[in-house]
Amino acid sequence: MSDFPAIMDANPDGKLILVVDDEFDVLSAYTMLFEYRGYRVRTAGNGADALELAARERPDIVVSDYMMPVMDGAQLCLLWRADPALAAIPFILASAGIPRKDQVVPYDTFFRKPIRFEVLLDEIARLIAAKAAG
Amino acid sequence: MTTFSSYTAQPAVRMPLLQTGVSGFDQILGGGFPAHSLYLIQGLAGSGKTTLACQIAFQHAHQGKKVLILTLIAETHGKMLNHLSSFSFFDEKLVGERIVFLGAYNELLKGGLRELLKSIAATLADQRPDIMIIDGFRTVREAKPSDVALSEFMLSLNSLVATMECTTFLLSPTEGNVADSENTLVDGLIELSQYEQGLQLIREIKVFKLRGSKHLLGRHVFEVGVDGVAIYPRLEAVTTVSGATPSVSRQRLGFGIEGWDKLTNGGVARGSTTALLGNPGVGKTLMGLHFIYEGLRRGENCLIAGFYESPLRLLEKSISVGMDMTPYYNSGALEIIWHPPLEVLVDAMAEDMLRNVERRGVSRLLMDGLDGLREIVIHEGRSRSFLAALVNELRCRNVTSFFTQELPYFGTGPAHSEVSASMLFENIILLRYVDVRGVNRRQIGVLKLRENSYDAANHILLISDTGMTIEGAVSGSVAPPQTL
Repeated sequence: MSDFPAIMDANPDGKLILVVDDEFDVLSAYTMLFEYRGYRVRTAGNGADALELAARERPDIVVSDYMMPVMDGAQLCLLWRADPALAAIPFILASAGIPRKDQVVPYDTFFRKPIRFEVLLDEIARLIAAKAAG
Repeated sequence: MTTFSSYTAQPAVRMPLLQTGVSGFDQILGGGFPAHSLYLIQGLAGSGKTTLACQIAFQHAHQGKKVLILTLIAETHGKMLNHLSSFSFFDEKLVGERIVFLGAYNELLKGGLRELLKSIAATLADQRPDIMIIDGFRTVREAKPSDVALSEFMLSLNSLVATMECTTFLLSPTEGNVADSENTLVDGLIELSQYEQGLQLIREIKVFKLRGSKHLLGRHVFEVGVDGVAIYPRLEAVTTVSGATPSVSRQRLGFGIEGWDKLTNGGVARGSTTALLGNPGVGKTLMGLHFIYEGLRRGENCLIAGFYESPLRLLEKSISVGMDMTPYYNSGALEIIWHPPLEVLVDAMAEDMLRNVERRGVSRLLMDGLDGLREIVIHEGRSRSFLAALVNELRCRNVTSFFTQELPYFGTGPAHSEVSASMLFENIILLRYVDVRGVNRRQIGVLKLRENSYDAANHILLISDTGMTIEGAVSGSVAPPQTL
């Protein structure tokens, strides 16, 4: 028997987005909005939790904040790409602040917050389609 | 692989301001509401919060923006529309197309705050409004969620409207800046209040907080009329924030009273402020009319503001002493603002005056009746600071102004308040009746005249059907009146 409770998805056939952010309200807002757009959503409060979640259930895309406790978005992205099972999954990184200039991070797309939701939605759809096209 | 370096040049996005279009509101907000944020407008029943929010809504809908009005337990949409239809900003054509009314109470009833939030998220994603108003927001607390659940709801709602770039106003029949999450987890808190002053109803607005904006502190009066809400920012707050400093001029402006202009070496400095103190009937208004008439003759635009004498009466008075101002009044070179000192809001009158000054390039102002002005300054102890702000605003606009102040019939000198207020004026003139060998005569004297030499002697003033004239010094005395 699984240690984790079953999640009732609003959209069982929807693509799975993993949203990583240490702010509860951001996770809450994105969950409702992505679900309304037909996606399934999992949330994590930092990079370490995100890796743990992804090990159990592969998302179709990651939308991660940059500044977080325990493991930040840049570190998460580096470990994500280093894991052969996750490396091909699209990774969107977002930050309200100015990231370090010298840091090389292998994300697919970077957004400066605040992000227009429609722009984020379009980018998610584009990256998922691009991955599917191979 | 990508580095951050290509992105660091991007400046952080500055939040745009949502201008309300409500007269005076943007000024007290410091330009407008920072957009895409969550605001609470509170005030007890009848305070005007729905009118204010809907006025903003219609203003933006007129500009092509989309507005969503969600109601919890509030008046029905039909009643709300019916009430709004009496205002000039109401436009039936916008309702349904750009202003959408939706009820949200059922979601709250069915699934509590979580369901309400999901419903709001779905509506925002569907409708993509620029502005959302949630009326009857107090219902959320009345649903009795735990404090944590309410805080989570407020945080999520705030994040939701920010993500969807929708400036949102919550309307709640509450008051006070208490430590509830509805107050603490919003980006701005505005309170509308009303109270009775005697039999008069006074409405006031206060911005408790407004993140990311330099708003005017304190309370400001407002009115609700056919055009909706009109706010009059407290003049002292406006003056403090603007920090404008008046220029200094050496040019002298005469009164057209030959003896007087000689006595003051050409008159008062341009842009200066003069107070004329005098007993009732001694000729204060008439001297002010001389000052104005001289400006009109020289092609200047002038303004008279007063409380006791109507425009018609002032024009008749001017004709009776040979200074017919009617042609100037008819041409627009002279305008007269007249308010009996009854239910007049002093900030509304000041705004009216200052707008008139700016619109017409007024260079001379006669404020006839400082005591009337003091009567309409409602709050005790405010008249001095209000007057200081008004005088400063006039100086900054390079207006040469002339204030008349009535002294009591009986008594020998001005009251203490007049003396302390006199610090505000560069020039002070005293007009009074004196007993000269058993005959009451008018006496005029300069108590203070900045940046100019003057004849300090008291002189006899005559009034005839050709206006004022000045005789020689009274008994050759050059001492200022002992009564002060």
